[in-house]
Amino acid sequence: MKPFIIETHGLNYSFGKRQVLQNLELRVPQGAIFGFLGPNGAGKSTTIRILLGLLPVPKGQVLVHGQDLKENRIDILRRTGSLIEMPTLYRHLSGHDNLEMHRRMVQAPKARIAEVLQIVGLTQDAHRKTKEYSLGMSQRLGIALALMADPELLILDEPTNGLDPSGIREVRELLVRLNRDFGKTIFLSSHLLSEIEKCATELAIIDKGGMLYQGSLQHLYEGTFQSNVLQLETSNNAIAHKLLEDHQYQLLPQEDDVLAVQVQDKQQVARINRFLVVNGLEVFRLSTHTYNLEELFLNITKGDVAATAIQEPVLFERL
Amino acid sequence: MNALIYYRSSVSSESLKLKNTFSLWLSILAPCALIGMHVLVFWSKGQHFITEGVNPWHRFAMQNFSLYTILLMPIFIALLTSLTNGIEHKSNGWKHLNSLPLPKSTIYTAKATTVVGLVLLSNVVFVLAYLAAGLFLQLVRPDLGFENIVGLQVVFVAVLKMFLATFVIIAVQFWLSIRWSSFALSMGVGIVAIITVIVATQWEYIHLYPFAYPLMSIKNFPSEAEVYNLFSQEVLLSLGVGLLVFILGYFDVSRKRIS
Repeated sequence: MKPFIIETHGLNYSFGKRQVLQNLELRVPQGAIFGFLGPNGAGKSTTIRILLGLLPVPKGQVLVHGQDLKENRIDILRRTGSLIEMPTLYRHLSGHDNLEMHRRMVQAPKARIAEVLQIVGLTQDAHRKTKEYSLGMSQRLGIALALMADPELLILDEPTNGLDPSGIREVRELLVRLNRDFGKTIFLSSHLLSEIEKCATELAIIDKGGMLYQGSLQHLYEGTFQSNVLQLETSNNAIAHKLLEDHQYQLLPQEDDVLAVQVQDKQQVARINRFLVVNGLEVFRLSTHTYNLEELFLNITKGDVAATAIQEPVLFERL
Repeated sequence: MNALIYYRSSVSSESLKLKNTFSLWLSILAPCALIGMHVLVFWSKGQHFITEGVNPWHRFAMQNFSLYTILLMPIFIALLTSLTNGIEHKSNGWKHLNSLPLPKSTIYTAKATTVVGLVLLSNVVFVLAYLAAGLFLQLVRPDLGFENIVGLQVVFVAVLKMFLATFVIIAVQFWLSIRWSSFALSMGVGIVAIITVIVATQWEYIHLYPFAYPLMSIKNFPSEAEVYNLFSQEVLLSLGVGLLVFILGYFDVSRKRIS
């Protein structure tokens, strides 16, 4: 098992009486692109602000790089780069000067400026004032700032917020490259599922301050198959209905001429098909309805029954 | 790594941040504008100011001092602090600064150093502009007696005292502008300060009113006995109260949630 780069134990946080985080147990493995997913107001930004020491840790424990955040804030921050929503750019200065300022703060070698510019592809525009930068360029410069001290961990809060599709793609490709070529662990928060789906290897889904799912993306998909529904059209739906019921298949309420059967896996779909054909029925249509992450997310965060079904086994194994 | 290295790197970063900003230009141009105006006044009507037995250099300095301390200083410091801290408010900089691997007190102290440094810069510019103005008046109005360059030391000491006496104003304005992003608040306090000082000049406790410390520090200029007492009451009060406000301000700001 790889060590965890971020671990929280029983993290609670409240703004006055409003509880924002409830017993959050985060486990971010080293070397992952970790998607931190949740609707607006779920507590993502609060979590990130706590991880960066911007908000005090009131209850619970936060370990980053294996060190306790309460005692080792500066040490931890030295090994962590961050970008919270919009990057902090001083618009009256050039991209290069923004980097130079940050370099002085974190005491990185001078040559590092050219390196990070190269990584984010802004070498050409380094001496333009940042007020002339497009949103995508600003965001990439923000990532360059985060990379200045060559940290092992990057914490990015909604880095693609407000970008157009090509900007989103630029940032995504950059993140994947940073993870693959430079071995950075990336902790990425977003409410855009499609984004997380495209680059994350691990993810956590939170809502109302509580963890709904945590684990690999693959596991989440496998988990969703449990709630898959097979839709059937046959030459005689009444007989098919009877046959399936007799063989302990779980039938769902019928709509029009379509039968709906709850299935566990792909093999079962093939078995049902063979079974019906063998019994002299013509099968006109067999279709499975697979949840994509979008629907899954909406379901999970709405607290549907389906969601609890997938979350239980997974959580059990991970925690 | 120790606190000094943190502090040095932070200050050097802050000073780069001032490049191309209005606050930097302001601290150079404000004293120049003030002295420039008085050059015009002395050029055209100098004979009304310089009477028999008056050192023209002292008279010219006094004329500048009174306007500098009553009118310019409160507004100028309000502008400087709110512009300097406004850079962070405007760029969402506080969260960035506070997630740097630096102690939070260092960031606060480095910012304050920058502002004090700017005020110091403008005082240095003031002295240089004053000297240049005197030499210029010597050329254009030889009758005023500026060619007799004596007693400049008392002027320099007075400027130093004036600077030390503004420390409390810097501390108050620094706290206001770091705590609230409103530019109007800083300016409002600055304007109220001017009005109260002008209205209450004759009040028997005016020497205790923080915004009047700079005025008090040059009240007896050019009396050498008074001016050479560097740590007079208003200077000590300014440094003491200023330091207190500065420290309390830190605790107040560090409690604030950064969003």
